[in-house]
Amino acid sequence: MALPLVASIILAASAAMAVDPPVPAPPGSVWANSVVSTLHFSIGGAMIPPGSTAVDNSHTDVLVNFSGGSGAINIRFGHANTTTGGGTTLPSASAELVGNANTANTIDEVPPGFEFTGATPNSTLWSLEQGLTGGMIYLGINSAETDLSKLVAWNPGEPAKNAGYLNKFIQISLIAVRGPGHFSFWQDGDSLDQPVVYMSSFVNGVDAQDRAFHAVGGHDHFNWSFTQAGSYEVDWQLSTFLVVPEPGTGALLATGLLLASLRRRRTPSDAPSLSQRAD
Amino acid sequence: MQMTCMKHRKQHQPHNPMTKNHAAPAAVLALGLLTSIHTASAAVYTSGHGDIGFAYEGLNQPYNHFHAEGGIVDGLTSNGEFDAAAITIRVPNTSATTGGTGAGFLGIGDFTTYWKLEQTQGAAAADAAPYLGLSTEDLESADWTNVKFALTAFSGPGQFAMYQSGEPSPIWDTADGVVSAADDHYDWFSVGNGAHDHANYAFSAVGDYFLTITMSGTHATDGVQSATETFHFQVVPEPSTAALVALGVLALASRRRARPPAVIA
Repeated sequence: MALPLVASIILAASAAMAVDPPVPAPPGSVWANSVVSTLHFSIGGAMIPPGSTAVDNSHTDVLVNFSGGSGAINIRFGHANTTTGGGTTLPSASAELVGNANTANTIDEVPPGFEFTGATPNSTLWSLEQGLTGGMIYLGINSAETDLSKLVAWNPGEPAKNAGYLNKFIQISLIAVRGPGHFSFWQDGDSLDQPVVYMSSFVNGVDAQDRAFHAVGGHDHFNWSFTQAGSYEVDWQLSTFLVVPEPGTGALLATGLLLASLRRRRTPSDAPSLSQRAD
Repeated sequence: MQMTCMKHRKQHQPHNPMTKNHAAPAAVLALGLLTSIHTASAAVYTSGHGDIGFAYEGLNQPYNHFHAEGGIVDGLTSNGEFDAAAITIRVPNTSATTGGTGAGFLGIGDFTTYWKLEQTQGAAAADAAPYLGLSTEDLESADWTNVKFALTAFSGPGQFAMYQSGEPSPIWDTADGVVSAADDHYDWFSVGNGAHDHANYAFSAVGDYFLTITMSGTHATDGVQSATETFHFQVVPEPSTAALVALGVLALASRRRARPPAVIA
């Protein structure tokens, strides 16, 4: 899966792969980060690396789940139903998400509001589209398999990203982009010139603001745009507030036994008499 | 000019005789029965993911229905299927908005309030409102061609439009009429086979709307199949209106109680 190093732009948030919580932890919760996972894209006819599975022309979801207390990113494609699953699930490292010729958009002038893509006049912008469009991958994100009972509700405080209210959210952070051009992750907005931008490697490079908040338990669709043909590696990290685990039954039993043992060791002869205490 | 103009959009076709011929008579019948088929006992879909779906349950048995995809129906998480007449789709007051492309599609001003079920899960969740899609996921994709959803009749206290964000024209809209051969949009929508898609559903006024939707397609061996059902969307009143009425009733009641007893000198 290695990328050719020639003409490759490497943008990274920081060397440290730990995303800080954007807000104070709600009571009884702890901030948790997943490992960093890499999404692989082949845009505009770029070669599919040997051993990788090309995923194209299919409803495909990037699975962003926290289950068992840890987050993980996988790719599912060819599933017949959004909720009940099916299809094929692969680790993100094994799937090559294809932006084929139908994803190419000719840009004469960059429309107002779309400068964030990094597109330039008289160029091609490759976009995997938010709406179902025949002839290309229909790529969303999906957290239907997250164990909701392990997550704590929190308010990211970012209404512009549909995350200004209390809910169980998974934060998706852009950590790095490696490829020949810029990457952006966005949704169409209420007005034609007001898209909702979650991630853009063009605006200020990759920084802490390149993040999305996904209301857990469902799925959603986005536009995934690239300014050049070629192979891209996009690093994502998941974060959320998890419930602080209650002491287990075993731990409580062990504590009880320990206390009982200490009490037994302390024989009556060792104990101070009432008269001694009075002294 | 717009970025979205450059996208490949295939939904808006000028005319589809097959859909029109099959849909119109059934739509008229369905509208005539609206008040009887949607009863107070219908389950109420209030939030989360659900789809209006096209299924095929055997020879000449197309099934046009609502399928909860983990959405909230009658207060509970549901993955069940519901007949069209058995479900009410609630459009809450939290979905009230102004401006944007929706206002234009409804034919109202930029500062006029309208109510919109959102296309994206994030925005729908922020409104605590339904995240409603259209689905053909129950179809064997290899068996079908030319599958589409058409809005074939409509009634309601205001206008309705279904559209996708970023697009310069609506998919379904009533402001320019429904099922008119002269209608440039000819209100139908294709989501392909074995697939689903999402859109915004906008309503210009509070009240009960009845959307008659004809789903049709060509089965490889059974030929053209079509099913028409009417779906009930309920746009709830603004709290301020209800609150004002309640406040008025309360004030009247208080006034009656507070009236001093008559004193006879």
